[in-house]
Amino acid sequence: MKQTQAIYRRELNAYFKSPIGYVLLAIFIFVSSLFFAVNLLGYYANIASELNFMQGLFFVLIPILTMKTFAEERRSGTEILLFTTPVTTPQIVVGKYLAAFTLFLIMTATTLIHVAITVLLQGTVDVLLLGTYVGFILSGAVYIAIGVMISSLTSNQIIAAIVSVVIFIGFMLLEAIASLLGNFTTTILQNLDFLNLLSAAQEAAAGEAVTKAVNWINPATRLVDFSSGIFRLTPIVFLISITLLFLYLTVQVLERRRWTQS
Amino acid sequence: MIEITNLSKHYGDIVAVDDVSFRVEKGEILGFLGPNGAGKTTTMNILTGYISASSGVVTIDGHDILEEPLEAKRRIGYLPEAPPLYVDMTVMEYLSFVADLKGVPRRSRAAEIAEAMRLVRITDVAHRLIGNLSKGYRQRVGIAQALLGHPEVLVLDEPTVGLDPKQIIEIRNTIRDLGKDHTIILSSHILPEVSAICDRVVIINRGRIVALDDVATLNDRSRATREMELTVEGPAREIVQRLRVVPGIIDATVLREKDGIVTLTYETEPDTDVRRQVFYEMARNTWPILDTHGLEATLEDVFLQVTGNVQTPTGGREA
Repeated sequence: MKQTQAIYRRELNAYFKSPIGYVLLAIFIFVSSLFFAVNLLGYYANIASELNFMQGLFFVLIPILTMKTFAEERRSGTEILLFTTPVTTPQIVVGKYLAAFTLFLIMTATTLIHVAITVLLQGTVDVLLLGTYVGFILSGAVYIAIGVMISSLTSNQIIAAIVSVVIFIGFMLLEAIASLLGNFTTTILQNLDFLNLLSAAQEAAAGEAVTKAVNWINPATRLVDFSSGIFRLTPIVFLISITLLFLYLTVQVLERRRWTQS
Repeated sequence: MIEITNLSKHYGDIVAVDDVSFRVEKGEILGFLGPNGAGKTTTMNILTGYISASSGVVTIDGHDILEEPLEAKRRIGYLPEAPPLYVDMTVMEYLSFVADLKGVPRRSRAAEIAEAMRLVRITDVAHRLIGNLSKGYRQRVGIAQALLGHPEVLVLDEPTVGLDPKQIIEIRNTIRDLGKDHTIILSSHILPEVSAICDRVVIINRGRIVALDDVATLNDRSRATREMELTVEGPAREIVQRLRVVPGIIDATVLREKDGIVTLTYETEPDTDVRRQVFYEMARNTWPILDTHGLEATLEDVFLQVTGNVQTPTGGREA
């Protein structure tokens, strides 16, 4: 616990000893405020749409946040300190993850100013917004876990960032690709099925199933419920599980690398 | 205190460490000697738990580094080849962080950090950024880091590399002081360093132990054959011919010749003193001897002998 805390504090401080922490906060505040201000000029304030918009920027913001977590330690040789002191690998991973997540929460918290302004101007702040916040933070948690895992795979933070960006763009495209993949499956089945073993309805159903499956694993589709104010247990459990899964994978990557024989 | 049994490490087809076994007793300073790429760093990385061995067992004070890593690591202070320093922290912040990692209780933390900084003389840079420190200071911060948490074992990988001569002497003295109440393994490719600090030496080459001995024994072994240097005024070729027929002299070679003055070395059989015979031989030919002295064999010679770079190794090899 004490060790996790020590790593957590060092990591969080490190964000503000390099420009990264400030740059991230600056970009986030600037873009979100711009969005808010433009809306405000049109006598319209919708924090939920602002958050959705900012979520679209996760694919650049989160990689910047996570790229150096493990890659930098490995490059500079400081990881040897972590691995030769009486600290367990899960402690290291959790400490670093929580530090990145905290900075993300700080970034998110800056939008509360916009909420305050909205309240002052008698705009609507309701449970839908709360749901959007929950969705925003949970998906941030997932993205950060993935970013941290990718950082543990390389000693080059630029590569870590680029790979993360590509994967996150993949998530965004996944929704669009999902129905394409479904149609593709149906078409293939139709072409293969020259004996007419399957009815057209079955082939279409197979395609739909593929679409559904792809959407099911896509964290982005899990957020729709939140922004409509519905708090279902499944998506919450799903997103937390994905986060934990990637943290577990990070631990495995780090251990494997040290135990590998090549 | 430290026991290494049949340790091997393969990287694919490359064998970095090949069946290495040795023990280090409590309070001992063991020198770990070998050319670059001999497997010193790999061995140290394994025994500190940074990487795994392909086979073999390492125990620190009875705790297996794989079975009980936390217990074993608690007993080790490690200074890797490149000190693991965060350049964005001050020395004080860094040492506090390391103290937390090692689970030093908050009550004794300040005192322990102050003590470590005093031992390696870095108190004056406590509040400077590590990134702005010179190499010598960084190295010392690295040693201070290893000392935190009062580990019984210190593993120092090339602690004096890249330092200037004054710093090297300082660090050596520090290590010798630390040796009074720590068990130390110290790696080096500088031989005088090892003979100056260590009680025992393990010589490793291409991943294998080629010698394991007291420093004194190793020195003795290298004296098995003696080399003398001789400066004479006279014709080089004839002097060499004359010397070669003196009983007890194995060989003679000219080092340099200038203005009729020849400097040469000759090798004698073990435990034979031929200086008198050489004197009369030279005197008979009226070639005045200007200087003669024995060349003290160093660990360097031993090292060359045991690593097989010399044709006639005298001592038996110990593996």
